[in-house]
Amino acid sequence: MSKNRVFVLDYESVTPLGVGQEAVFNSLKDNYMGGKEVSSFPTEGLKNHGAAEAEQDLSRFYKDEPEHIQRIIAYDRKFELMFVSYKIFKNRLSDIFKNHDPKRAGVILGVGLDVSPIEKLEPHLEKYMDNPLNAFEKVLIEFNSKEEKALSVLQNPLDLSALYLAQELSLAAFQKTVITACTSSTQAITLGYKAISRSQADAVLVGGTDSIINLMAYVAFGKLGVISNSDKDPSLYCRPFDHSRDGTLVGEASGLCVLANEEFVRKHNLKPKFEILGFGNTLDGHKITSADPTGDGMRRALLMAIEMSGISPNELDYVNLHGTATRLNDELELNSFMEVVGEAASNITVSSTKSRHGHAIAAAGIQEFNLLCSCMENDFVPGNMNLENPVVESGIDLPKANKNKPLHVGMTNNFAFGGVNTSIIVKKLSNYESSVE
Amino acid sequence: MIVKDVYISSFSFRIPGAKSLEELKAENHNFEKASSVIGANNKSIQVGLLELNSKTKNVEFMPKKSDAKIMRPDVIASTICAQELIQGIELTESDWKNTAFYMANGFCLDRLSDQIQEMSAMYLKPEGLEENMSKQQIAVVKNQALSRFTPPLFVLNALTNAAQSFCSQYGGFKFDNTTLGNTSQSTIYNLEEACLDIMEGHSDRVVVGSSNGAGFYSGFSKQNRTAGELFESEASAFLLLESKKSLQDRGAKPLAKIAFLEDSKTIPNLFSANDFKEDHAFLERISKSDFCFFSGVSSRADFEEQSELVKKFYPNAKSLFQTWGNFGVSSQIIDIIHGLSENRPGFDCYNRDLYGRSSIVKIEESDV
Repeated sequence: MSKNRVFVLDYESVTPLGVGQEAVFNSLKDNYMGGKEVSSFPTEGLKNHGAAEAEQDLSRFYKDEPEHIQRIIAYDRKFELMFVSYKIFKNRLSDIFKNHDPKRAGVILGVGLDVSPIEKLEPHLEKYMDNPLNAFEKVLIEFNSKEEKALSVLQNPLDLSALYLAQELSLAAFQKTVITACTSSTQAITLGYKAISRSQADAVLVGGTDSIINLMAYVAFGKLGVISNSDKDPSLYCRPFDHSRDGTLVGEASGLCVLANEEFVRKHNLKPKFEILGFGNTLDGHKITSADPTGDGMRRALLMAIEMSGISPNELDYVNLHGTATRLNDELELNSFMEVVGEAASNITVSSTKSRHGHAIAAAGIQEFNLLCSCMENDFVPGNMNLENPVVESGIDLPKANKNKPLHVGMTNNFAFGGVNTSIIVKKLSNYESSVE
Repeated sequence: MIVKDVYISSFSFRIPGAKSLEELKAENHNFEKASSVIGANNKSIQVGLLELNSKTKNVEFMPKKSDAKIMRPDVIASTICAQELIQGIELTESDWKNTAFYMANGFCLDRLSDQIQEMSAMYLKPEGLEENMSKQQIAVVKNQALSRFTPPLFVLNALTNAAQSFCSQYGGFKFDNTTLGNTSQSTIYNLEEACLDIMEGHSDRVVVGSSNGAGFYSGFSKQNRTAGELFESEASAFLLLESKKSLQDRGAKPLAKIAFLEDSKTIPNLFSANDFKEDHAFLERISKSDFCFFSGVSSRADFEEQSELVKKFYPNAKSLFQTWGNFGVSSQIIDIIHGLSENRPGFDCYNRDLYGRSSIVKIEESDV
């Protein structure tokens, strides 16, 4: 069965590096570090006190929206971030999705688990202090008791963002929400790729949104031992591939990207920027608590992506690694990658950008995919910030500083809790017209 | 979509009270139920709970204790299902490793609600709080209390892809995969993905699984979109789909084949509950069914309304809703298993989710 080519038309992000992809890229060039003291709740008494937060006051993007939208946003940071990504992308999206067949266009987003923002609910919870064990439930009931036909606050299903975007842009083919933790939005892209290559849809809006910067999630991830316990400045928390690394930097982000087939591109007279060549997607089947120490799952994902793309490893110019700065994962990822690409490794430049923007969990995939696209558009390689003593001294180009390099083919990797491994390979279309002749 | 050469070769399920096909067919009413009032309109939810512990007769498939301590009941049920699914099927470890696995997961927090309430309570009213404390001192006491009462592995306990992870660990499926979390519609999307994988040769075998949570959080998210008392059950249900080649290689006969599947491609109206218009042209399809099963939505009143509508097109249509309520993401797979349990030569399974998105899966007798 012949498969359709899958093109990247446009993309947008809201991350700790900026609101809008241009701002994000400029921050990357300027070596801006997103790690700061947490501003959205007090961290006194906790082991950790830093995070990479996106801009806190985003109200300028929704102050004129109807009350039901504002009520959701007030208690749902994930939806707020997605709403802002959509808002800044809206005009371009409307140009792309005009005169389209709704049944041939879909949406797929990666989203993280809903964790109630206890710190925002506190004023309401205090009313039920006579029996604090029931307070949380009572607040939810109280909130839901208002005469609202629309969604009440805190009643938001995981698929809220995907359904909202489907409604806004008339995307009827499907509305999927992927919930595979740190690979959620990476898989949203791979599922979008599959849907277009198999003719299930002509265009798919893919992306994701997540934030674990609320008190309960922050404490829970801290107790899991994956957040850096460093007493240093939060900008120094996350040190991917460094011998001294001791955990990641908590982040948040949202992002969107439009994928389409050749027919859609031609019909709407659009100019794609990239082509997705292939992906790899595997499971470790090892343990939920840690990645398979043999790296088998990672290697299979990397190999699958390279084979599906029909490229040789020599053609890879840059790889945005998952690189969370946790003890086991970084070394495993680097060793797996070097094993798969063999001697080609010495010519491939690799870096993790999480030291700058933190780990956005379910939105990590779209944040880093969009970042990869920005870097490739600008032939720019972001250096590995906070890297002093690399775990690998030679055999691969792991630069400490930013540099310029022609980037034609790039890869992005994400690996999730529960042992999910996902990689995507994209090619820059310097001359789209000639590529389809 | 017309499906070609995609066969159902195995299934497994866990639903409250029924551990065998006979008990499913008999619609065993003898299971644990929980009820609570959840809303200002005194709307109650009745929930069928899975009972899974080492005393059940499937103790051989119980996960290890060290794993079980961080598994929700729906995750344990899925892990048991994954192992049962592959029992007796002669395939190598490598074959299972190359099996794709698409999972749908409903609400994850319901069985954790007591823990969340406790964590909130300890934060709100911690020991050691004194009247003359500064704002900063209060934050220290409260944050430390929250930290103390947050279990170290709480994140993994609440993980949205926990069922996928454990099924992969115990079942050995390690190829292409995802976990979708968007209402019962997730399962039709996964079935479509699986059928295309097999039809295009991406994979010779695909496990399509589902894990449904039910309770306060699930009911709370639905109550403004449904009418009357909510009724739903925890559940887990799995299908193994295979290509003709895979079946021939191991000399096996399938149980049935998937002949057709389609979803209504409805744009959901997120902010106005119950204002969707049922797609009658779509429902016309079931008037030609050999037999029709339907799953109902989340409340008894919505079920009655759906039942009336479905029966206009297929008067003898059957549903398990009155016994178990809605199975969420597991609905359509359980309906397929229900049809197979009755040895019907062909049948359709109709499902409509909370947002009015409808789907049909047509099952036919195998030609292999």
